[in-house]
Amino acid sequence: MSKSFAYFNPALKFLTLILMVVLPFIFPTLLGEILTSCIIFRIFSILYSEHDVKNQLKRNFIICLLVFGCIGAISSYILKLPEVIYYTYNITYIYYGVFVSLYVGNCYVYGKMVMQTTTLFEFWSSMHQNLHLSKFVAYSCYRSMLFITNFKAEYDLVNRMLMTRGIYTGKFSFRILEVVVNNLKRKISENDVVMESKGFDHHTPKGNYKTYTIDVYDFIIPTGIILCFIGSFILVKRGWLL
Amino acid sequence: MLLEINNLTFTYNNANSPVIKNLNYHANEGEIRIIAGSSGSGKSTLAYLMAGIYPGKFGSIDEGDIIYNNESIVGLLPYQRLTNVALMFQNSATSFCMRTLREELHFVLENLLLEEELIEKRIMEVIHSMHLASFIDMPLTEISEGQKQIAALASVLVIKPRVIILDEPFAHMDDVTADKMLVYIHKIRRKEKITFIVIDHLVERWLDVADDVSLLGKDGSFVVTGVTKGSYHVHEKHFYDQGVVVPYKHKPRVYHDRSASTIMRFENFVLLHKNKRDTLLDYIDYSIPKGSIIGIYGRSGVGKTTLLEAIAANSGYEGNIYVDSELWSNYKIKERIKKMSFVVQNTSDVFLRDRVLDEFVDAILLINPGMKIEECALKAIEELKKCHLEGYLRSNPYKLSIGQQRLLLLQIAFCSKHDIIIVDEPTYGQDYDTLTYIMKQIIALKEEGRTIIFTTHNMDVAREYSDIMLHYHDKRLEEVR
Repeated sequence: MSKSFAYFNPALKFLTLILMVVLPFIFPTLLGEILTSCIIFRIFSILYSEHDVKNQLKRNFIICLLVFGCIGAISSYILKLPEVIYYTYNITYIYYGVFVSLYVGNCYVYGKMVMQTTTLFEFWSSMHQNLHLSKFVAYSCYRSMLFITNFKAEYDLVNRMLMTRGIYTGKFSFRILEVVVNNLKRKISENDVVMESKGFDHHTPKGNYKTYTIDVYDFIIPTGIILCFIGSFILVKRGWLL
Repeated sequence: MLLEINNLTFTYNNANSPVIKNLNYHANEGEIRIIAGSSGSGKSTLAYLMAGIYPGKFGSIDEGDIIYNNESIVGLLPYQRLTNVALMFQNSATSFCMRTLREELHFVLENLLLEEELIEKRIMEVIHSMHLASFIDMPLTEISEGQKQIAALASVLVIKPRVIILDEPFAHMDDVTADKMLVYIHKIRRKEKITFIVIDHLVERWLDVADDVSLLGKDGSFVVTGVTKGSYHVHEKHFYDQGVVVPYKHKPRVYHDRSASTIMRFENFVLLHKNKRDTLLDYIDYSIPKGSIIGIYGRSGVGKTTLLEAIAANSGYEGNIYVDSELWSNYKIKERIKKMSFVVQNTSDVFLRDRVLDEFVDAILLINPGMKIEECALKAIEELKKCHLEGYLRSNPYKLSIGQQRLLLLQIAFCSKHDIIIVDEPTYGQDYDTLTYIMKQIIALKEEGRTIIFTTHNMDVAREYSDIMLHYHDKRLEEVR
């Protein structure tokens, strides 16, 4: 995979992922097709070009337009297929499974790429710099994500630490919950200081250095998804399931 | 002059008096300057001020200024400051933003807006020169405290700013590793002309390479400055008075009476690494006599903390541990925590309340459930007076210095009624007076018939205070005679 995806704006990566999952359900219309086309166009342009899409377009506009346009059009058709499943009755059942599995598989691969190449810090920074969200909104969003991702580990850690001091409150306790919330608040504010001491602020344009490595699961899981959906659609259609 | 501090006075929010008072200081290019002082004298506060992190929202500069190259540090943005000055934090556990050291190094260098190729080059340089390859890609939560400190040092050195401030850089390292790092710092200073300002208790370690040693007094101003190797003996008394120099006498080792009954026995004990694949101790059979002080000495990263954690949590090992002839795994959790207390090295998660007094009262109530709150409070104040923390009754425990946090935790453990007390690095971050107090308390516990197991990377401490000194190396525990 080209490095340019890793350097792609982290907030837009997350946003694209959310839109990929949600849009086909929201816009089963021409507007949905256009929107999903744009998104897919953007994703593929990043995946298959060495540079940012703007530079690529500048270099070879017509070829790019044709290639990405085709990819976008095909993909948008695939992406709006949850609706097709509901509204189109004249295609055979095997296609239903193929289309839906392509939709789910695509979301899985893209989601994995986003998670692997983006950290929360970059997400926060990017939301502020590139999406021009206010520092307050971007930071609140970042804090809540940090809180959610660390909550379980923090809870276990505090429980273990209190046990070392001879305090046992059982597996779940509101007392620990209170300590965890306070600790996380404190740690996040300590983190601010550390981040600041390492030169991190909203004036610094950030790029992402992490690259995506393709492993065997990138083939196994989408294949599994495709087979599962096709299998279940066949079973449903023949009346063996449900 | 590269750095100049003029008549600086700094007060924390909600504090009555300034921590730093009318302080003057300077540093030139390529110097190594040491700032020593007793626990709580404001050394770390001064480091934060010099790094531009304070005053921020934490307090106010009442008077004076900190100037780098004729420019005040207060007005600079974080990434602009970073080219001038970088700080290595005392608490290495909370000084990282990323998951692994490699990511952390990338993060720091990206903030300097360096090109990707240059980032890679600098990272490779630091990996090679600081021998980081063994843990560069490991999660930072899984490496030892000593390795964390090396990682923190690497993430500061990789920046190559004009001034680097190191706050207790070797506190978690063994002497061999610390000496290697010191040589490396000296080399960098000469090659890159970087100025190092080092906060450290152990002044003597730095005398050969330091251009200046200054001693910060408890009133927040310098007691003595401009001390060098040549003039150190003239000023040594000041360092003793402030409890900075540790006068170990190396008493001959007295062997513990092994006829005492055994409180803990290890049988075919194998200590597992946190990754569950590797082992840190192989097939140990060992007995610990009741009412003894066991000092475990070993280099950074050998697994001292993991060993204590495995004993306390009853997990992460294979084989058997017997406590009072009963299999440790047969003890229920509640019985276990009544039998053994563990004072951890990292204090970042152990406090429950937002005031030191409340924290102590809670601890006393746990030992004496029927005691009245007022009596508990009086007892808590009495205990806090013993360790000179009575001035912080209403402070948040996390606002104390790292050394004071550990002292508070130790004092709570000293009041407990556990038969076995495990202490991880009790002397870390403490000046000599506090160290002596802690070790005297440990001896007092022993005289009450309790067993204390402590780890340290300071061989002098282990030699001076333990009945049985165990050297932990090469996956073995060896008794030192």
